[in-house]
Amino acid sequence: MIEAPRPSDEPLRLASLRSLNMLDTPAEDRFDRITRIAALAFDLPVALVSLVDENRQWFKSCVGLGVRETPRSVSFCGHAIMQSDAFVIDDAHEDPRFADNPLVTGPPFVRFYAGQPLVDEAGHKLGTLCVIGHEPRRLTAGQIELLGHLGRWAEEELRTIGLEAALRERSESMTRLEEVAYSLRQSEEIHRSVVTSMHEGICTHDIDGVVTTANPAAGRILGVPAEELLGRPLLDSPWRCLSEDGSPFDPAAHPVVIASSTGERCTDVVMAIDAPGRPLRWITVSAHPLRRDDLETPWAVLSTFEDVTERRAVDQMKNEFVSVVSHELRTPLTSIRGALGLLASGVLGELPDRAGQMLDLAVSNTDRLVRLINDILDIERMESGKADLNRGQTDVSDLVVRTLDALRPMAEQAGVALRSDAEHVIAWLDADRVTQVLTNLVSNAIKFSPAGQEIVVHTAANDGVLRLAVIDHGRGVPLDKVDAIFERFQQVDASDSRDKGGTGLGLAICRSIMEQHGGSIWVEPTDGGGSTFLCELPMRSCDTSVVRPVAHTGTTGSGTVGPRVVDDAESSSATGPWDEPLVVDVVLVEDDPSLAVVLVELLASYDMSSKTVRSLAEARHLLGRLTPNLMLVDLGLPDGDGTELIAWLLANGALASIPVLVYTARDLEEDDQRSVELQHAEIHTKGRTDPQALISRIAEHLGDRRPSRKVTPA
Amino acid sequence: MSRRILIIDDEADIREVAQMSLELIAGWQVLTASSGTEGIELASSQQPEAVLLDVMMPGLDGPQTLQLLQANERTHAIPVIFLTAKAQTSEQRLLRDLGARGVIAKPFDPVTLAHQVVELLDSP
Repeated sequence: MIEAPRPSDEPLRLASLRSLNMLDTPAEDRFDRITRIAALAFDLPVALVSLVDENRQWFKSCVGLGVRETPRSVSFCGHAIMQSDAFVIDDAHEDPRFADNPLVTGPPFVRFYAGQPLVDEAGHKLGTLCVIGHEPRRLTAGQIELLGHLGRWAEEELRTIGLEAALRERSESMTRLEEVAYSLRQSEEIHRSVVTSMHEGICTHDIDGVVTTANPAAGRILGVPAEELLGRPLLDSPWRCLSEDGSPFDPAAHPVVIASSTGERCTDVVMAIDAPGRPLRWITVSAHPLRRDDLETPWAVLSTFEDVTERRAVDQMKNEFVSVVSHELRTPLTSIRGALGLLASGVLGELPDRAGQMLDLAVSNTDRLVRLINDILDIERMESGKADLNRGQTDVSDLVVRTLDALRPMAEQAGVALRSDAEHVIAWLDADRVTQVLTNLVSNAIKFSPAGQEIVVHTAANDGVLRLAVIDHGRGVPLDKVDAIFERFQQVDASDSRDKGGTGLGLAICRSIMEQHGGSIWVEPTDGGGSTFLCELPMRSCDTSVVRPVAHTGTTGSGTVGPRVVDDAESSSATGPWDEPLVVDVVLVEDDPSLAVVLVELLASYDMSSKTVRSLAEARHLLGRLTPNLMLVDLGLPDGDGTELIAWLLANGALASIPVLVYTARDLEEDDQRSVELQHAEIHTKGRTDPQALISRIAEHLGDRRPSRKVTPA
Repeated sequence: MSRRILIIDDEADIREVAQMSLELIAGWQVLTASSGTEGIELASSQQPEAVLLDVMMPGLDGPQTLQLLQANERTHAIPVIFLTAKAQTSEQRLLRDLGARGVIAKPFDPVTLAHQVVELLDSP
């Protein structure tokens, strides 16, 4: 047996065959008709439309044969497609190519074969129309011609199938295109109606700012028909743009200009449109650069703007309302607080103890109500974005030290120590607001710390972020409350506002302030128990970072911690009155305010300047900043005994030589008088030495001073 | 001797509480006026050492009164301290920037009111 060679166009022939998508499809009448006619016309049992695939021949139509395909290697058709005319084997037994072919020696016992090649338009022979007999046969010229005609008929059918497939494909892609076009039209319509019906004005601009499209709202907001905006350069308009302070808006600051020049989004810029014959409209403008993958710079800019005139008016009304309400609540409270305070002070006559207790209760609750009003006002204004930040270059370690100093009396009363572990940092922030946050956090920490514990305020600057931490060893915050406590009126324990005197708004205010600064606040447990409240604030690129760490405990008298910043501009802005040397004749340490007023008055009448402090802690802090010519000290002070202060003075080099007068209501025993501290002081007893005499004694100490005016103590 | 202080406030109750506080606790002499106009007249004729001035008043408000006091050569040297129910630090800063010696927030503590006034008057 000799296997048929492969045609020279085999790959293209196979590609053409497959493109018809006919292989392994069901039989069709159009071909069966041809094979039936062939079988009848030649009076032969088998007629086929055979397609020669890579490794088989597959029969699209088959008369008289039980199979749909046979291997190409043994096929007669494989030989037939090597010829251009009909391929005829009269007697396979006599032909060495087929004599031992299994299809000849076994079923279907082929003896006679005639196959007409089927040629496509490009000339590739895809298969045959063939007839097969079991007896030897010889065809007449007419019969060969008939086979040729039937073959061309089959070729026509193949071509038709090809055309039909192409047509089908084209119409399918047409349908797909139509579908895409339809959905594009639909989505464009949706977008267009969104853009058209939006309240926000939307324009597109070319890179020079010229308006290329504008929606109706854009025209409405700007007071001209939208069509008139088209082609108009951004800065050539019949209206004037004003900035919030009423000055002409700087064209270089226009969001569209910024977006096209920098390629960055620029959002929510507020400006007013001042057009002749129209009331002033306030708008917020945002601009987004439009980019393409193949261009480095934006090719156009989309601007959106919103009329916020009404909203601004409402905000202003709300603002005024809150301010008026706060004022109206405060006014009667002022009278109540004043009247209660006067009664409680005893100046209107002594009260029975129980009445006094009731009055103290009324006073402290009035104070709480005032704090509540303050906090509500604060939080309302911050959350409505109306409390503008008043940012400045701020010395953070100085801010921490001052805050802790202000809270020290409270801490000492609670027996809690305060310590600052602050890096020296200058940051761009609202000092009043951040002080408020720190005051809230530290006073909370004091309230919830047991006596004997220490509270540390830690600050650090890293990667443009300022971190503040208030670390306590108090009772801690349960894990399920760590988020809730920053909400309004959400204390860890419902009784806290009553027991601890808080308003339940402190942490909500802290969070608002932090968020306004673009920062955040959260709480974590402290190692070994307690809470650590952490704040993070972006510092801005102009901030100067750490210069050197400052250790400050506030109890060593080293209160003069000035900014040590290298940058001139910043150090000048950060230097405050805190660092100026103060000169004063007398420092008065007296916790009885009415007596203090009298003494200060009397000192002033001798032209002696004075500073009054009410506790040991305040005294120590003040003496870190100034050295008086004389100290006048009460012994019974809220945070300890005046003798402690004298001991501290004696141990403090420069302060040891200051003359000290003690003015006390205590009748001192002989022993006390001989104590080391009191040997250095001159003792005057309230009730024996009257204020007038005391002050003239002080005047003697300080040299020849005469009263410049007369004072009658109350 | 005692300090002579003028209180200008449209609220009679507050005038009374402040007056009693300064008189009884500090032993000062207190004049009161219920409006800016009346206050300017009293300040000019009585020459008090200082004026405690309410901010929100019908007619002349606090800042306007301050402006008139500063413009009048008989009263321009008298230090003015605002007594205000406005709590915001920013508002208080604005008031100080008008040229007031200081700001005391309402409600005030009657026991330390005189002390607060003295501190502000004596501050540089």
